[in-house]
Amino acid sequence: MGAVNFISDESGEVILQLSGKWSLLSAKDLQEEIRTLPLPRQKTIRVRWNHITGADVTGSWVLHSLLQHLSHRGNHLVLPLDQGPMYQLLQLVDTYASKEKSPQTSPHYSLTDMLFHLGKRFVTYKENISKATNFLGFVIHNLIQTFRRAQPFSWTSLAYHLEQVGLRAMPIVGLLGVLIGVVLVYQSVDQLRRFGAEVFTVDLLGISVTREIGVLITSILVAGRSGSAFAAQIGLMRLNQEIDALDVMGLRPVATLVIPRVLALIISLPLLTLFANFVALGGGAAMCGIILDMPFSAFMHQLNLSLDIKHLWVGLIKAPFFALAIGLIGCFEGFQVQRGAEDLGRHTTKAVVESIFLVICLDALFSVFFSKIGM
Amino acid sequence: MITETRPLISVTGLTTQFGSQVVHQDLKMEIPEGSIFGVVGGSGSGKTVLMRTLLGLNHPAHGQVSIDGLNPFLPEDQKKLQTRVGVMFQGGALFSSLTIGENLIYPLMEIAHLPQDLAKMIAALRLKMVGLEVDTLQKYPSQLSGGMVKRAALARALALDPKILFLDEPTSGLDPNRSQTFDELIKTLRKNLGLTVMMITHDQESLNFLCDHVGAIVDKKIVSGPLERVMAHPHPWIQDFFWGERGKRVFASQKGGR
Repeated sequence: MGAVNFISDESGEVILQLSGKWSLLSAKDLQEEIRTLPLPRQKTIRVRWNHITGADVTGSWVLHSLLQHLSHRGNHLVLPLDQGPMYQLLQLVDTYASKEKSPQTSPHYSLTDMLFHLGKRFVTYKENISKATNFLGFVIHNLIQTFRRAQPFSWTSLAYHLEQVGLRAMPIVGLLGVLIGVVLVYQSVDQLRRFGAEVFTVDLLGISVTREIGVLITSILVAGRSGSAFAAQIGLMRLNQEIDALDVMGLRPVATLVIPRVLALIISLPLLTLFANFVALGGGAAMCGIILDMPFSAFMHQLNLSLDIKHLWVGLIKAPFFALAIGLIGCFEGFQVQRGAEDLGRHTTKAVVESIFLVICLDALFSVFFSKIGM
Repeated sequence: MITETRPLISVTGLTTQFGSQVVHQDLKMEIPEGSIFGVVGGSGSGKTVLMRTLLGLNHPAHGQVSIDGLNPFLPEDQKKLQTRVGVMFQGGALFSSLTIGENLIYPLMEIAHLPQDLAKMIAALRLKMVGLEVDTLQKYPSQLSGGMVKRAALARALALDPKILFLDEPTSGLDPNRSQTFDELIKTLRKNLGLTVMMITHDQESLNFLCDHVGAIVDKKIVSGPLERVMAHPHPWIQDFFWGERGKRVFASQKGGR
């Protein structure tokens, strides 16, 4: 005996007997019951809802669709005469009931839509590149203006960002540097031992760390740490209309927000790189001591033989360029934020991915350049 | 029109504090079943904190809260309250990564375990009830205007057929015409669905139009009761709110009683 039953009385009349709770929480079971309900052959059905103990909008909807279904089938429904709560709820549902069978709740995508989006993405990409180039020019112009003291410059802001992106990055850069040194030595000793050339581990370590790995690891870390922070800070300021407020006050957002950040990065990244180089070599030296029994003096001697000062320069020269790339992309993506938190998150991610990508591209270009000029 | 019945929400001895800052002290109030209870108070007087406490989002230092006989701080009661309480947060709090339709379907499928097709139909029904078109279902919250976001948020608050509806500044940020339509919508829904509504508001017009009971948060306590009784309270803030220049214009009709 469920909540929905067809019964026939003495006179042979079919009665739709409804009972129980017709509410949100019972809606699922009710619908299931209705789906498996054998429908009567008689045309006239008398509806009785006086045994319903409680109903809400969702439950009434289920009842409403059952009654609709029956009358579409050609049944003649005789509703009770009482105009109690059940009747009123049914009236309410009937007023707002949607004619559509299954309303769309998610945007529908067809093949042409997909093509459209692909094309749109491509165009946006192109536009973004020109926007970014525009931004680069604008920032460089502002940098020059700042150096020529043609516009005010906030030393406090620079100091603050130097602390944030430089000083505060030192612990993690240091830790990573040591680990990289250790890993490099550990890996190369194994390979070089086969040729009896363990001593060249030091050469490998020295050159790879100073030329490439030191600066790359530092840049990637800073891109993740500061590039994302720039994008998020500026993006949030945009959402709060703080950028507009600056603009209206005549304080140019690029000069006040971007220049100190980018300058701080340009100053701190080479210093961080130098620091990373030192700790990586230190970690490598310690590892050489442990697995090769190489005393520190021997390590230094070997390093002296192999490592020329130009290798150090090759690494350090790249750092300001990487810094410019990271800072520009971080700030640029921050300025691109337009709507809401989701957009902010997307642009922050983009800032990190793009700046790491650009750093590695630049590094490849620099490799070609340095090999051409014989450094 | 309003018959006094048992209180649906009752709060006794409520003290809320953040660190050393006391927001409510020994606050006591009752919201009768079937009423529209308006909460007013100056900025920072703890209107939203009170609502959050009633919803169990904020634990008070002392005091008891009972909603429909349940304690919102007990996990087993919280589960029962899920379907009895609907909330419309101030900014709408629609999930921004979901479409309006998905916003409405989500609680229906997750809490009431409705099959998807039924949930979709109910979502469309709710949306029409708050006066939005069915094609709004496919849109994202960021694509809607402020008034539409409020309506969609109201539809979501109603999705689980609650007995009690909490509204945090439902008309803030709407232009006067839209505020009026929104107020009328709430009134109609209350009448049709037999809801009890607690709403936080700054809007004297809404308060006058909708609320039969009012609670004014002053000096960390609440002065509550039927509108005309609260209006007569001698506290300077209350006097200022109801009988200041603005208040006088709005509440002039109240003088003769309703």
